[in-house]
Amino acid sequence: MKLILSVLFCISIVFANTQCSSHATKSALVSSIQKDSLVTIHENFNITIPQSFIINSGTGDDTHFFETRNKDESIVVSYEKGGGRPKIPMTAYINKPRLQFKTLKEFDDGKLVLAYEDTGASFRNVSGKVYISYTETESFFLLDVSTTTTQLENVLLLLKTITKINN
Amino acid sequence: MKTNFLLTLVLFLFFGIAKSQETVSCVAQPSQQHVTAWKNPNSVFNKRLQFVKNYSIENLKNVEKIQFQNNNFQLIQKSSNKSPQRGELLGVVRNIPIVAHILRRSNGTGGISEADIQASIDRANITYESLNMRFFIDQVKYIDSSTKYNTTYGLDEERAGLSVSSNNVARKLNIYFVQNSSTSWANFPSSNANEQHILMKNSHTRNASTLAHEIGHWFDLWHTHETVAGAELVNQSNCSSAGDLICDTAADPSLSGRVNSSCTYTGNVRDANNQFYTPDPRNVMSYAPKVCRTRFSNGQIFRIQSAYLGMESDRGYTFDGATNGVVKGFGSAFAIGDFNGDGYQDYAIGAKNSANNEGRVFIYKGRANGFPIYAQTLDQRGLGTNEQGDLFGASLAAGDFNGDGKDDLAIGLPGEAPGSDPKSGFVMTFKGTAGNLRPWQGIDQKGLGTNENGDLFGASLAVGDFNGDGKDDLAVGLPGEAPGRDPKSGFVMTFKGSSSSLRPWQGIDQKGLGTNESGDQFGAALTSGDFNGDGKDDLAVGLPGEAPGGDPKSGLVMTFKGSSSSLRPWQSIDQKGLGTNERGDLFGAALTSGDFNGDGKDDLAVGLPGEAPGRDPKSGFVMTFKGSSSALRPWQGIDQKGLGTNERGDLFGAALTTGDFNGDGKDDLAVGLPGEAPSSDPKSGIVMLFKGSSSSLRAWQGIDQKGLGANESGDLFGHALIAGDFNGDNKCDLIVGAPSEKPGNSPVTSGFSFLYKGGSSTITPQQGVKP
Repeated sequence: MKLILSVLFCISIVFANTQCSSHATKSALVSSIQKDSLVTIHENFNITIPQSFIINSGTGDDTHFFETRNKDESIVVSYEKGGGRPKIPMTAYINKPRLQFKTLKEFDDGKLVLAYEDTGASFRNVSGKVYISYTETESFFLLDVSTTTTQLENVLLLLKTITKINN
Repeated sequence: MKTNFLLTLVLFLFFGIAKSQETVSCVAQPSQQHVTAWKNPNSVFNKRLQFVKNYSIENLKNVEKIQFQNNNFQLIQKSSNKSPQRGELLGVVRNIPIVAHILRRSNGTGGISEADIQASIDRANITYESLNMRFFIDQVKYIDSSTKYNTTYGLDEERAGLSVSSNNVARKLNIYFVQNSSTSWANFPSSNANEQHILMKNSHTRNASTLAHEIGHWFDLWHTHETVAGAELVNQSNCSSAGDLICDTAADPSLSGRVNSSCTYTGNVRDANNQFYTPDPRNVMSYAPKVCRTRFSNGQIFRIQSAYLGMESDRGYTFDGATNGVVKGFGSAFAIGDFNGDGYQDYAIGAKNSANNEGRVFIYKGRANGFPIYAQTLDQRGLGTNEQGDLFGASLAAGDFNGDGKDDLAIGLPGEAPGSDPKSGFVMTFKGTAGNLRPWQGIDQKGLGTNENGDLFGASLAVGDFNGDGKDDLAVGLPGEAPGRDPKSGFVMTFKGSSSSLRPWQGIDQKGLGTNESGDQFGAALTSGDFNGDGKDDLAVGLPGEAPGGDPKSGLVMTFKGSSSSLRPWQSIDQKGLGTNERGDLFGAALTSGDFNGDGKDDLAVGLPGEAPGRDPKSGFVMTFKGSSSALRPWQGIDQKGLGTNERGDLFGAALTTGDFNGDGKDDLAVGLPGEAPSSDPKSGIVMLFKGSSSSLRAWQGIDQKGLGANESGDLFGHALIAGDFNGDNKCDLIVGAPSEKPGNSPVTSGFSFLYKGGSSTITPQQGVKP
């Protein structure tokens, strides 16, 4: 299963990078193809992280946290979760006129969605949240995303590796 | 490496998927509602914070409460009719009562120890000291259930298992200490009954700073790396709308794994503008290593103060006993002892006039490095009811009454009406434990006499092992008592220490040494010491209203020799040999004992605050008597010469204490002059020190409040004194009470105490001790 994911990821990235203008970024992702990590997030989901990415995760005083960055930090994906059911706003703090959505994939009970905006930041100008939308009013937060416009397609591919753990 | 990483993730991720966005305030991370409120500049949170920022951090330490009325905030001051103006705030200090809910197995085993909790609170108190917030264990409640003990807590389990809304004690900071939990957490300000507590994982409680961190959340601080509202930029251009919404905390990429053991940031990550982070690893609200986190930014301090002062509107209540706006007379009595048996001296400070003369006693615990810090406030709960005029804490004495190796504390309440009896006075004892002092025994005159109005039982206390059985005994003064059919001449009752309780032992009046006469005030002052060197403590009793022989009412001291069966009349001492008995000398108004000449026998010092030495006015005097196997013998008369001038009303000798302040092996004498006007300053009081030597007590050093405060009229600096080696350097340190001092810029005479560090050549100002 993991091998299949890696191959799929590899193919996806190759295609995705046709839009990339940064050779460095491309090579960073390509170099990760051979060894990627299947990481469990929020207990019930897996995500495949390229091996070259740096991962920082653990438990603080009162939260669990997970963060992964690629080497040039053009992609940062993370979450922090408190000791209960966090009520994380999905789109509340995204500038509405600039708000965009990408539906990444369908699960049997909902859609995997990225809501994001272009913040105008000089480096990682794309900022957003990844969540599962069950209905119009029900959703479950998964990840914060911070990236560049040029890396957005790669990030989408990364996020599409998210799978539910069926147990 | 990958295996370890995956294992880590699997270990820490065990919360179920929630399909809905609940309306609960998220623990440790602010809820959407909360974030929205803070991002709205017109929300009550922001308006209140802006109001609070009108005042300096230093002044905010003294604010008691804030109220929102008529669309405006107002400072609330209960202790004065004076209306506070901008920049002028009134003096109060905040003590925050904690109820510790400890989960244990059904058989009462397991769970965190009270000592561990106290140590954690002690650490948090250091962090919050700059905010004048001090936390103390008000109650300990055990939840004995193996099921609950073994549960791994998340919010759902907490709701189901801990029933916090029913278990919480109203108007306290309720903290649940659990064995198994993914993390600790705290609830942000909310009026929801389920969100008033903190949950601490036991292992976190033992670390250096998680409790302070969680308390920070409780007072509405967010993580410095918070991203709920967006990630803060290094240039802080979005600091008011992202991160922790506090602009003087540096942008923080989350410091876990990015700070080394020297508390230096080692990360090299960049923000969305490609700028490198320069976070503060010392900030309490970061995820830096626990030992690194010791401070708040000013912006965080303002926010904590705003949350504290706005509790009533945010949470619907204020802390019970949280403010010391009612504290008065702090520093009117002292006792020292090792209450928790840790080998470090602790001290108790009485504030008998607090809460309309109900009285309070404040406990400060000694520690390995540094001087004692606040630990506990005592009142009558557990042994009686706090009533106006009881004067709980008017006198204090410490001793190991039950012989368990930990000192216990006896507290006098000379205004108490025991049970249905008249206002005859009372004594309450608190047992020393490894944690806090605990209510032990209430003592009145039963077994030795009758509780009668105005007896003033408990007006004075002394501790000594009078019968030599290895357990300390307690002597209680009743200067208003009428013994038998005699007039109100005063009385002393003694209580024998035992493993279970203090037991009535002996009633003592003047018989054998004199006659019980109205107004003698036998028992107005007490001290113990082994004056004859027989290994058993003896008791000295002051009678400042006594007329010795045919002389006028100049005062007297009577001594009683300790023995295995009783205290026996030994000696009557007046001024003969050192001076003349004159009306109003008040000989015996204050007493202390110590081995001033280093001969192995205790000597006695007697205060005469009404004495006019030689041709000088009534400025006060001290007489010392040398201990010997047969009697206390006149040794030396001491006035202010060598250190100052004898002036009317100085009250030299109104308070006395003994300690080896210079570490030369001989006790020195400290004399309070609460009526003295130091130099050109007003009548604020001073203390004079006299160095012990084989031949005499020699004038050594005068101290006033300089270095720790200002000499202000009526402070009564020197009203009470005590000595103890609080920093373990084998030299006694001195605490001086100024029970009418107004701390800081407060108009409230709550009282203050001053700690001076002993030294071989001088004693030096160390710190102020606030209520």
